[in-house]
Amino acid sequence: MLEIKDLHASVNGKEILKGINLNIEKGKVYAIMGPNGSGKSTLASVIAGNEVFDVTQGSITLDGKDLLKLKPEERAAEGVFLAFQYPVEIPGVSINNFMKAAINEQRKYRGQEPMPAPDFLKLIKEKKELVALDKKLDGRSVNQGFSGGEKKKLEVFQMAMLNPKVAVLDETDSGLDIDALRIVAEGVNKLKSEDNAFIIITHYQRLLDYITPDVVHVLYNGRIIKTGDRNLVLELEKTGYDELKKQADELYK
Amino acid sequence: MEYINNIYDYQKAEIIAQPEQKTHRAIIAQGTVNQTIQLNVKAMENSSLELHICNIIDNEDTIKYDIDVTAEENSNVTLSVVSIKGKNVDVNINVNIIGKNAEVNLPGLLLPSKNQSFTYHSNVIHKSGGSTTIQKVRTVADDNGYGDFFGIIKVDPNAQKSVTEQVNNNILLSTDARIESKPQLEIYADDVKCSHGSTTGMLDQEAIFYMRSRGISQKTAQNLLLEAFINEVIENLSQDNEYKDFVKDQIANKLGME
Repeated sequence: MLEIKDLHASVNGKEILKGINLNIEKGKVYAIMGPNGSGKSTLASVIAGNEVFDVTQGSITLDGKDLLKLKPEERAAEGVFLAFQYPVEIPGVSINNFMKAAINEQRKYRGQEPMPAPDFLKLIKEKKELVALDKKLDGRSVNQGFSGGEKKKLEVFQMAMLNPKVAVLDETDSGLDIDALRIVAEGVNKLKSEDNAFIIITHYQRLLDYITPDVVHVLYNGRIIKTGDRNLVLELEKTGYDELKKQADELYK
Repeated sequence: MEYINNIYDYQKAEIIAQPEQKTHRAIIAQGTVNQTIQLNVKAMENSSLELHICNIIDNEDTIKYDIDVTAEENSNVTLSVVSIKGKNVDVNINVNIIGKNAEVNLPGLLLPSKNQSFTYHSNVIHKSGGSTTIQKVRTVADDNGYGDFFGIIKVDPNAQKSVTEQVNNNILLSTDARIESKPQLEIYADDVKCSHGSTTGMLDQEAIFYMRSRGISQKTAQNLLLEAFINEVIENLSQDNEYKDFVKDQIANKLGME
């Protein structure tokens, strides 16, 4: 469904991604692990279309469509979702207005009429329950004054509202206590279907105790240096990244 | 709210809120206007006075205001200025707080765009103690628009227990736009609570990317941020929803929002 081929990307002339190849299939969960500074968040940002990064080589396609030619909002309407590592506070913009704008602009892009208000309210109620979003957040501005856990839950809530084909979760487990972690994981597990795929970017195995990945990639220094199944997670937990890093440094020196 | 749509009747006018009375007026300066307006505004003891000024004059025209405000004991005064259209809109405000426990609210919103220059100068003096002044003025400047905020709040030696808050926040939408901001405090009493501040910047690009990643277009994302920035001023203008809705419509009209 999502194909990434030989992707190179840089920021301020510094190359961060040095040839990424990924084939994301429907109905599967992918984990991308790796030490800090390996390029995990850059990969997430480039998929979503953050213009801070320059793609210098390679391609990203979603169901054959060239994503690199699309604006971030067009990619979203095509079915790409990024759960941010650091969700942004938007003072004065309520969660409901934000979601209404997002859903209706996506529908407009797809040539659909705006969602009727009763359907929207029903949807928002249903999805708030899915992630156990606190009632006290109703009517609040997007992410403003939210705790770390609340921000991450709001990311999963938005994902549920927008129902993407491919969701990239960038370090969604960072800054979460165990209860919030479980709610986020349950949210993802409930949203998982035969028609969508998840890319879970994480530093630790913690979130992967709750969401079982089908494929695990290890990213280091802008390249995928190892691929395996869920057992790779446990292996890494035991051995750490050092041995893999050494092998990769040897290979690409 | 009493609306004054014909500014010619108000070239030199007195607006007085009598003791225990409410006087709420809105001046809508519109159409072809090249005038200086002199207003003498007085809020007597225990009165409530609201004077709102909305400038939507023709884009070739100029309007200038000289406004003197006197606030007596326990009066509640709101003087708001919203400048949306016009070539030059210059507002000069002098406020004398002569009675105890007066509350003065001075919200302002300037939206200069192509070839527009909107200025807001104010001089507030606390001559008596226990009174409060809140002044929140925001500017959004687009194209080669020019916005200028120059505000002094002075607290006299015998105006103890004064509370003042002055803040000027500005957004530049274009690299050709210009904003000047000079918030100033002069404090001669020692038991007061006074603050002032000023910020000027572009729209938050991170917030715009965040919204775009949800499928919201660049234009809509920008408008949502602007609307939020502007509404914080509009919501606090008055209790009168009709006037607030009028102002919101005029702004939406100008910014090309839905």
